Amino acid sequence: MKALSLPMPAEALPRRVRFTALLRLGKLLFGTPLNGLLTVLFGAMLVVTVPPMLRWLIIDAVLFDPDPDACREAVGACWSFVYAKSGQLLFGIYPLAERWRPAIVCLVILALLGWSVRPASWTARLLALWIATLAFIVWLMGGGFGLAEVPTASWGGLPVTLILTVVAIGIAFPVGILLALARRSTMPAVRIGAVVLIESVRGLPLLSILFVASIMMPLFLPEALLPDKFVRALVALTIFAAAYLAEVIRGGLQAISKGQYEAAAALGLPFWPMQYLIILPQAIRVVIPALANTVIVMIKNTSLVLVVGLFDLISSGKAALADPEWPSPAAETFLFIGAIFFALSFSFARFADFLERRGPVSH
Amino acid sequence: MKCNSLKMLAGAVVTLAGLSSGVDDAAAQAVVNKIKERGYVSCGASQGVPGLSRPDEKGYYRGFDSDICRTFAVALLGDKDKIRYVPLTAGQRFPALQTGEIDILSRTSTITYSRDAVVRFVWINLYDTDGLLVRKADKITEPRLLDGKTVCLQGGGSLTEKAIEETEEEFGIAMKKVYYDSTIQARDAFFGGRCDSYVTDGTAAAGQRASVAKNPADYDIIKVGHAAEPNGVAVARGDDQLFDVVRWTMNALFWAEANGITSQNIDEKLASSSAEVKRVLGEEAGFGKPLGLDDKWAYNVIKQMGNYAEIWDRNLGKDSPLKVERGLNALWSDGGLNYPFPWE
Repeated sequence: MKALSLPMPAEALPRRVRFTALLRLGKLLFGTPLNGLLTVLFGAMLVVTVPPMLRWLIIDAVLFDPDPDACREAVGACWSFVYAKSGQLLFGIYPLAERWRPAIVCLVILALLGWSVRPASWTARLLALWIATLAFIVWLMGGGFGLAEVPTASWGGLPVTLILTVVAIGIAFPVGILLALARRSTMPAVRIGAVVLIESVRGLPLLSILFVASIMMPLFLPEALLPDKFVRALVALTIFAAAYLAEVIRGGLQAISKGQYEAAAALGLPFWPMQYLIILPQAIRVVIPALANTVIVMIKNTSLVLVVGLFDLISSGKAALADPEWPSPAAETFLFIGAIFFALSFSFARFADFLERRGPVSH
Repeated sequence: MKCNSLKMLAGAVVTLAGLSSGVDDAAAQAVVNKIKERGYVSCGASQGVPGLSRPDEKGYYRGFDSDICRTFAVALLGDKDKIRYVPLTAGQRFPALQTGEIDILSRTSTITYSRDAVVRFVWINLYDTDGLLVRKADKITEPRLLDGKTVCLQGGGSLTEKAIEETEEEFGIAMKKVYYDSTIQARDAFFGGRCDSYVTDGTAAAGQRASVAKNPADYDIIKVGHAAEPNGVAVARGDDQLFDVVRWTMNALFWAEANGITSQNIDEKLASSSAEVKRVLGEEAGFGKPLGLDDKWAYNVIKQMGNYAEIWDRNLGKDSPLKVERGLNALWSDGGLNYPFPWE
């Protein structure tokens, strides 16, 4: 944009500017033989791939036609399937007459998440608000007190993904902090306990933890003591997330110089206020990128609950695809589900980015 | 229905489960009472298999396996919708029965020696065979013509693989096999034009022809191999009463078909038929007593759900998009393997 500030006669400006800009663009794309070659190659690749992709995605696609045969004849994508099955994709096997309930749950969770990212709302009230909201969500999804009862086996789709993500990470974060502190503790029993827990959870694949929670546990616990299948999967996810978050936070704790601890101790701060006021705010800010990484992985890990028979977004998609009346447009369905996961993960990545930019690390 | 990767794990779990299942016997004794008390049957379902059990847009389970389960709800509670389906993966289905999470399992489970030692299979509700999908345009009408043709299939020693080997041996032909990790990949490769044919379970082949093919009429299904996979309905061990209810409800479905009794004509048949029909359909007091059911239970089952043929046609057969042949699942009088036990 520097070219704009060159002194030149007023009437010649527009043409000269266009020319200079073109020249600069040309130089950028074809400046050296290698650049020229790369430009030609990438240009050719775009020409070859983009038009067919657009044709498949939009031009030849079936958008809203409710007739399954329209999709059989079309060469493009079958978005009408996603449109016709949207209720099933979003809410799984939740009874049709009650679908307004998971819809409200999704809106409430998303709205509260949106509210929670504002620094202005980070008060103790927010925690109380979340706890009250979760109680409301459980009531709305499960029923009772005037609403028809819906067992967790019938929950499905987006609310399941959102509840699993929010609750698992919401509980795992404070647990992770405690585990990280415990692992750095000078008390041997506390330290060894934390090490054993973290290392054994990290040493197991999430899939096998979910299997144990959903298939093995019912075999050795009596029915009365056995939590619901949904709760078991939730606990498995939470423990898994906590172990990973603990290690990330421990990384942050190790980055804090010894002087900070000594200064806090010199001020006469006991252990917990020191951690809360001095150490953790700095430690956590240092590891925001790694925390965001773990959280985003956990958002996507929730889809693994499909192996234990819970209808998350992906299971709901698969169930919808099993309808023999329709051709099964798997690519379109998974693009739709992928878009939801991307929206969730990307929003969180932006939030983490915002947290990082909020201020300099204050040592 | 066949080897997917979870099954190995499932096998391990089932074996372990066998060791601990003795504990549940006393508790399981009263399942029928438990069902009547809570007012619904809890039935194991899949997460979505075309024609067998899948939740539709409204969350209502449709399919052959699901409808078979509804017949038990009718027999026990008099209403086909007094039922709750619990979606289960292949690995969960037997532990779910053992722990009482579900009362009845009707979810494409092949009856095997080791499984029958863990749960109690009651009756075969479906014989599955292996089917080979081919394009009509290729004019492959019998296995003999597959010589030198390519076949897409799931590798790793699955039963379908064995069916192909048997076919090659039987007809003295050699096929070019293209292996894939999963049956879904093999399916997509076939419909994408990679192979001349594609082999999988017979009902799955029909389901995929109906749902995946652009024009289902362009494809044929050829039966290959000699394995018949008996898919059964199962209950937990140690509960004779529920076992009897399931067995005789299945029997009523076959019996009604053999006697030409359908959900449509049941009232006429009842008025005009033999003493046996009148008895089974509940005209005789005390007919339901041995099972602890209402005397009209068989009448209710046929009236609400139809006989075996109606359930088949609606979900897998001619009235469905799948158009699966009855084959082994026909009555013995029509060349199949099914027949009712006597009601004496």
